[in-house]
Amino acid sequence: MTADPSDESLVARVGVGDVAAFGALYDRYAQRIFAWSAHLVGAAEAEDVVQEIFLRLWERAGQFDARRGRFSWWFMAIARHHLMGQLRRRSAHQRLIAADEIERVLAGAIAPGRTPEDLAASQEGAGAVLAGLATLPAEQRRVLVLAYFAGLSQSAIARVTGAPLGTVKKRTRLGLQKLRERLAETLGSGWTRTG
Amino acid sequence: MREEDMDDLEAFRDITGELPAALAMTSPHRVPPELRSRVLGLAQARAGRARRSTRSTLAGSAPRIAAAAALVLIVGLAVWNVRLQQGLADERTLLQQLRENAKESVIFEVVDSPGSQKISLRAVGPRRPGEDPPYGKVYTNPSQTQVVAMAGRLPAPDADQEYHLYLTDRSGTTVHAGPVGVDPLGFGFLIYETGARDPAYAAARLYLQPAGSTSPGGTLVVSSEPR
Repeated sequence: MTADPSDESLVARVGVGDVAAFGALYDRYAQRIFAWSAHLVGAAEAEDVVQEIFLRLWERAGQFDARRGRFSWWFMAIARHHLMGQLRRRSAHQRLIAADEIERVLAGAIAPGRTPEDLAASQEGAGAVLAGLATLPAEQRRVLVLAYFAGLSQSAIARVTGAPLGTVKKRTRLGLQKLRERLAETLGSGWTRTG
Repeated sequence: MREEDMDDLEAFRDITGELPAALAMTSPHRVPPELRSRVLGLAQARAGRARRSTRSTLAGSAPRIAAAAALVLIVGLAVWNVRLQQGLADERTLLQQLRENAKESVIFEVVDSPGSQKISLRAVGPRRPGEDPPYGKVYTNPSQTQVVAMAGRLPAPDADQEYHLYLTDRSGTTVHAGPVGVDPLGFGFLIYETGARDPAYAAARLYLQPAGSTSPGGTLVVSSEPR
C-alpha cells in the first residue's frame, strides 16, 4: 500500500502541466476555498472565486518553493489575496455580516455530546485548529475572524468592536498563540516547522 | 489590511494556513460536484493553448509568406504555375487546420480570453430538492461571434419540457438563443452563433417551457434580472 502523495510533490507535477495532480490538489483544497468564499461572497459567486484561484494555482505552481514552507500555507495565502481583492468591492457592513456568520459557525463547531478532543482528533491540523477556535474566548475568536477571514485591518477591528487598538493587537496575538499551542499538543511541535 | 497588520498573520502562517480547513469542516456550504470538471477543463484548455502557441505563431506567419509567394508566382505565372498551385493547396490545408482548432476551442476562446464579459444569472424559480439554487453565466467576447451560456443545478425538466435561453440587447430586442440540454446533475450549456463579432447583451433569461418553444414563456428559472 502506497502513501498518498504529498501536496508538495503534487504541486511540483502541476508545475509541469500534470492535470491529474492538479485534480488531486483540487480534491484536497476546493472545499475549504469554496466554504470560505461562500460565506464572504455567496455560493453562486464562490464558484467563480474557486475557479479563478485554482487557475492561478495552475499558472503559478512552478513558483512554489518548498524550502519556504508548506504548500497549504502558500496556496491559502494566494486564495486569501484573491478573496480580499473580491471583498474590496463590498462594503464594510457586508464584511461584518459575513464575519458574524463565520464566527457563529466556528463557535458552534462543538456540538452537544462532542468534546474538543473529539474534534481535534477528527482531521489532523484542521480539527485541532477548529477545536481551538471553538474554545477560544469569544473576543479573541472575533478578532481572528475579522482579521483573517474578512480581511479587516486591526484599526478597523478596533473601530467596529470599540476596543482600543492595543487590545485588538493583544487579542490577535493571544488567540494565534493559543491555537498554536493547541496544534502542538495535538500533533507535536514538528507541525509548525517549515517544509 | 496594512503591512503591520500582516506581521502577526505571517508569523503564524502555520496556524492561519489551517483556518480555511477548519471553517470547511463545520461550514454548511459544500462545493458543487460539477465545479471540478469545469475547473479541470479550463486548466486543460490553457495547457492545450500553451502547447499550440508555438504552432500558432508559425501558422500565423504562414499565410503571409504564402501570399508573398503567390504574388511572385503570379508575376511569373506562365513559368511557375505548377508551383503556385501547390503552394495554394498547402495554404488551404493550413487554414483548414486552423479553423478546426478554433472550432474545438471556441468555448474557451469566449469564456477564458482577455476581454471576456459575462452576465450572471440568479435563481428566480424552482430549485433541485435539497440543493442550492440554480445559477448561470452568459459569456461574450469582443473578438468572437458566439455567446456561450451555461447553467448549473437546474431542476430536471419533465419529458415534454425544455430549457430555452433568451437574450435581450441594449435596445430591448429579445432573441431566442436556443434550447439548453441538461445533464443528470442539472448542468447545461449552449453555444449561440450571433453571426457578428462583439455580441453584447443587457439581459438573459432561462425558461423552462414546452419543448419546441421559441418565445419567452413558461417558468422563469434563472435570470440576470432578479425579481
